[in-house]
Amino acid sequence: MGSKGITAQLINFLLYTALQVLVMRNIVLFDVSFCYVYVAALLLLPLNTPQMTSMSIAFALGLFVDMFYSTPGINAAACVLMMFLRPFALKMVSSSSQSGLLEGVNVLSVTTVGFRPFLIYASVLIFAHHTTLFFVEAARANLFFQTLQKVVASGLFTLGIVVISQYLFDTTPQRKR
Amino acid sequence: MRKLLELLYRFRTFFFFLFLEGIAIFMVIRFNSYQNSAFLNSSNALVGAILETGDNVSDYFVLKERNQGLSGDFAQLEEEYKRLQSQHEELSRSYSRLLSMTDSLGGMDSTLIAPTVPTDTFVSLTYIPAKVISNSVYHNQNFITLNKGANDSLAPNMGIICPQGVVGKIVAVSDNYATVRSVLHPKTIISAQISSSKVIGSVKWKEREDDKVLGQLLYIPRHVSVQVGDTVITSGYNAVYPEGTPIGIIEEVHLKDDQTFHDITINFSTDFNSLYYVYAVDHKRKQEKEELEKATQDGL
Repeated sequence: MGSKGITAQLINFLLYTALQVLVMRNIVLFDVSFCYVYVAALLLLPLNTPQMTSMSIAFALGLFVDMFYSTPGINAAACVLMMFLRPFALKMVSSSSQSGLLEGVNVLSVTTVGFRPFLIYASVLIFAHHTTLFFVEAARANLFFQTLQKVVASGLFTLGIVVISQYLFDTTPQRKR
Repeated sequence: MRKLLELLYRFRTFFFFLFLEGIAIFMVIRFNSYQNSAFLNSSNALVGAILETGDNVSDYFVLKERNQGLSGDFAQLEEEYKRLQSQHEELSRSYSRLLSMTDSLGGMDSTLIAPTVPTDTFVSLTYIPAKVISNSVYHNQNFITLNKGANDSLAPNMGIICPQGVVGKIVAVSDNYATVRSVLHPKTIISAQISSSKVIGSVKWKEREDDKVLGQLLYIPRHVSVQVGDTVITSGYNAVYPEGTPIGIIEEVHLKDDQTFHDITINFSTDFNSLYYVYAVDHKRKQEKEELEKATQDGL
């Protein structure tokens, strides 16, 4: 990855984190639907990043976002799990689409692999993230269905915003056709 | 030994994952039980500065509502002022009548009827105004961030109130920012009393229901009669909130045959959605009170 790639990654992180803490933190739909758009920065990490590095980055980013919510550890735990599960999500993407799709792809985004594979990849990881997040936050079994409702509603909300933001500000280089 | 090291190396990613998750979960648990590290929450200097900047921008969009709210508060204060003024006039009239009566009785020493209560009894509370720069109401654990901190003599465990009622309690402060645990947090418990019958209980947040924020009033024994519509106010026992601060109105009362306590739902009077200016309550005698209580307990 050249310096251009690193700049793109930095812009990703700044952009999505700022969007999260300044805008999305204040938006709640129907009382149950929260948006955690900052996970997009982790989704767009280069695929050749060593997993231990990506988990460390996820931990730091999660903890930073946590400070704004005054809930240290919750977002961090969810983000680390998300990055731990990333290889499994990649396997799901490559097995559900034509072979060779991920070849030569460094950043997995709508422009590099197309809409459907990205949707699979993003939804698996976003739901893993949200499930951890809301169940750790609730920490009580008697809120199970309420929490599940939050997971599904927020997961769809985040997924929608992440996909839209892909089209709005795309920082990944176009794949050569 | 070599085999073990090989195993560790082979699954190093997994162990690293467990390690990071362990730290995160430890933070969740530890923070919930102590909640006093100013570094890891919204009163952190950097986080507070970012929140304040964002709040400054969003302020412009709600200026009109803020103005209306403030002028409402102002009208209320003016009314209160007029009421107190007329009360004061009445009292001074009766005082001068009393004085003239003592004069006519033959020059009794007027210091006998002068006020003897030391004035500082009434000023043991100080209110420090602060602005809300971040607020949440929809989470399971809700926190509020204020734009004042240790430099403005805010400290952990101070109560936060607004003109409508209780808001929460400070959990952490940095130099310029403070994090407040809102009433809408499962760990917040407020010592309360029913204003008509003076019976003491505890208020806890229960749930949100549409626009209303509902709470539970606990430990009201069954022999006490409780009416829907009674006001619930803070009792003076906890030394966090000033005595008599409104908490809410009783919305529902249930009493099953086998229950020792009433099952009471209250509707909080504070509008947590539109908090803007709040007041931190500095209880000057709080430390003294706590020390005395502790000494009494140790003595037993």
